[in-house]
Amino acid sequence: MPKRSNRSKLIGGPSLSRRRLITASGAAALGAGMMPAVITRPAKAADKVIKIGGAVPLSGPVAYWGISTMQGFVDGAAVINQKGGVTIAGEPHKLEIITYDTKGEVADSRAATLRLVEQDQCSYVYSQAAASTVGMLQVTEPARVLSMVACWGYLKLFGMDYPFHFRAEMSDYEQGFAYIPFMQEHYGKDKLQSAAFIGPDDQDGHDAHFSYQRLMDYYGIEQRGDEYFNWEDTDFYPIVTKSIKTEPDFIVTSPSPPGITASIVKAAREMGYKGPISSPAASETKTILEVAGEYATDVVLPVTNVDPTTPAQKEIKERFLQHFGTFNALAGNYSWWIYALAAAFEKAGTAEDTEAVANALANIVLEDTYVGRVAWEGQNSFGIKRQGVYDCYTTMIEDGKAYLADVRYPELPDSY
Amino acid sequence: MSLDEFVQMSLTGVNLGLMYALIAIGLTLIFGVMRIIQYAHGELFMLGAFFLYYWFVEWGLPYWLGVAASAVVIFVVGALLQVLLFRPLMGQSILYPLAVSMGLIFIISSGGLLVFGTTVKGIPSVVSGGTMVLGAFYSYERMVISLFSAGLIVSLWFVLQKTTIGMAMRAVSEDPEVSALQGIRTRRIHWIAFGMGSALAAVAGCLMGTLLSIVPTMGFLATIKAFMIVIMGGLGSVPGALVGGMILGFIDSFVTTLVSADVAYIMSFVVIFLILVFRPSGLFGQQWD
Repeated sequence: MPKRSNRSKLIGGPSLSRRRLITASGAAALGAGMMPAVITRPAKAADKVIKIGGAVPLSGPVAYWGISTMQGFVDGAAVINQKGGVTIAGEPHKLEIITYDTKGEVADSRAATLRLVEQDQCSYVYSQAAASTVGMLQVTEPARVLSMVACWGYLKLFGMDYPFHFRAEMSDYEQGFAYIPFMQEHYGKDKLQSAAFIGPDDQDGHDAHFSYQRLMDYYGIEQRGDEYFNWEDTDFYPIVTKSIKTEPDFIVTSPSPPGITASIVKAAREMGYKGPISSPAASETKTILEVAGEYATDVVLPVTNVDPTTPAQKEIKERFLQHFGTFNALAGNYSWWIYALAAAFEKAGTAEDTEAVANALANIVLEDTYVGRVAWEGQNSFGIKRQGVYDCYTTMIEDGKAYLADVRYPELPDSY
Repeated sequence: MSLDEFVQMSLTGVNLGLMYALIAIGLTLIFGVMRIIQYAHGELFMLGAFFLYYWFVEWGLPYWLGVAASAVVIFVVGALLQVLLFRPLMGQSILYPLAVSMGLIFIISSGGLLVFGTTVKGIPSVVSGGTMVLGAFYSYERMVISLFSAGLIVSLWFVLQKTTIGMAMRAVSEDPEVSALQGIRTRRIHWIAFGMGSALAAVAGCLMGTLLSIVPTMGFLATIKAFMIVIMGGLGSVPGALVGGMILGFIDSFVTTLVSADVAYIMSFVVIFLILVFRPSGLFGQQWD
């Protein structure tokens, strides 16, 4: 694994107030039905404050993603504040995180974002998952509020027409330029001549299929069928039966959470399918190992670092465990967002002018985050650098054991 | 369609159908005895699955004992719900128990998210391997689960047909007032039926949770499917729930494999509509006032 130097000065640091962080994350876990917001305020009322708002799913089916994202902001703000805050024009500014639950719904996200922008006066917001992002963008772009999100699809809502919109999480498309070369090296290029796609039957699934098509075309891999499941499907035998009938060399399932990935893997293996199965959205191994059991083999999980090795990664894991009681690779993946934003404040020399901060953020490069090197890309593809790209930590599960198999920065084409 | 594909789809259909039937039989049992639709039935299905998860995965206790313990615990939960929440509403408009069961859905599923977390969990299988049946793969796990489900359904049928408590249940189902005049303690039968129906949902949750994965929001779909099956088979009919479960299982398996999951959903409702058009009380149901 490549060693990284020039560790960001904002990452790491002494122990934080355990009680405060537990209170914040615990309240979030309780959900919006009981708590309207999760607010972590800096210590002194006299401090200059930059408010960062979150409109993320803290309850509902995708709460796991939302809570993981919020933890990164809560933890990062505490670390940055502990070190004196963000320095703008020589003056320290503390970060305040205000988070509302969107329940993963567009309307709730729009309402939460309106509240963040109009009532709480947040000029910087974050979100997670497609529905919450779509709701958020209805408010943020007209208000020139900078948004950082994890959203793969809805490419019409991204690029030149959305200059304040940053997609911090790599989509399956960018990931593909890391994990497909890895798979070709690992299994042999001649063994991966054809592929099949399985995804959810919604906008996300069809967008992921579009990414998959572009990737397969780029690598000259024949596409043999695409199957879609409803989120409510309980048994994947019928879908998988249909998919493996096309005899693909490997299967890509995206965006499928760990439980669904596990059910697909289990069904495929039980029915005798031997090829690798990659899942660019699972980002977790425990559930896959639990559900698929002995059938969990040749599973390729991009952007899933199950084995933190660098001091910075170990420190983040340790701190999350200490403060939130849990840590998962996904939370690690999101932990760098706030540091990039803080660095952009300092580089722009302002927190008032969101356009200046956006321009600064687009050129921020972090070298030693939980996901290694981070930069913003997409100039040729989207006309503007707003897509986060970082080292892809690919975990493999073989014979019921998960291990970190590869780390590489995506080999993006010149056209990207 | 080749023979092995047909067999594969059939095996999947039987497996799904039996598990669907198990959930639906609990629901229809409660309706048959109490004349209420327990919309939070799926939430008890979810609780049963999570009980087994903690029992087997977290505490490392024996699997099959966990299935039995889950059934017992959820039986008690169901009986308590009947005594504390539904009994006081007996004789009231059907809207009252409807409101209570709707409320229970949100309380139990939201409570589940708080207590169990939002991460999908899995219950490891205790049976591995499989065999080829006419060119189709049949895992021993699915085989055991199918046999267990079928055995449970037969046992329930035996209880209802041949035991005193079963006959009392059927009597209360036929006419609660005459049953009471005959000396049957109907209030007791009510909580027993509610508990039994809930326990069946718990067992189904354990089995489906092992085969697939579990999440606190899994109950809603289970209720929808169970309700569809009960309507198809006839409200209050145990054989109807079994047949309805098999119909839905086969539609899910065949139509999803041959066409798509969306078409399978549409087909399920089309079949229900057709059944209701030609047999308004369902395949085996009686006309309820």
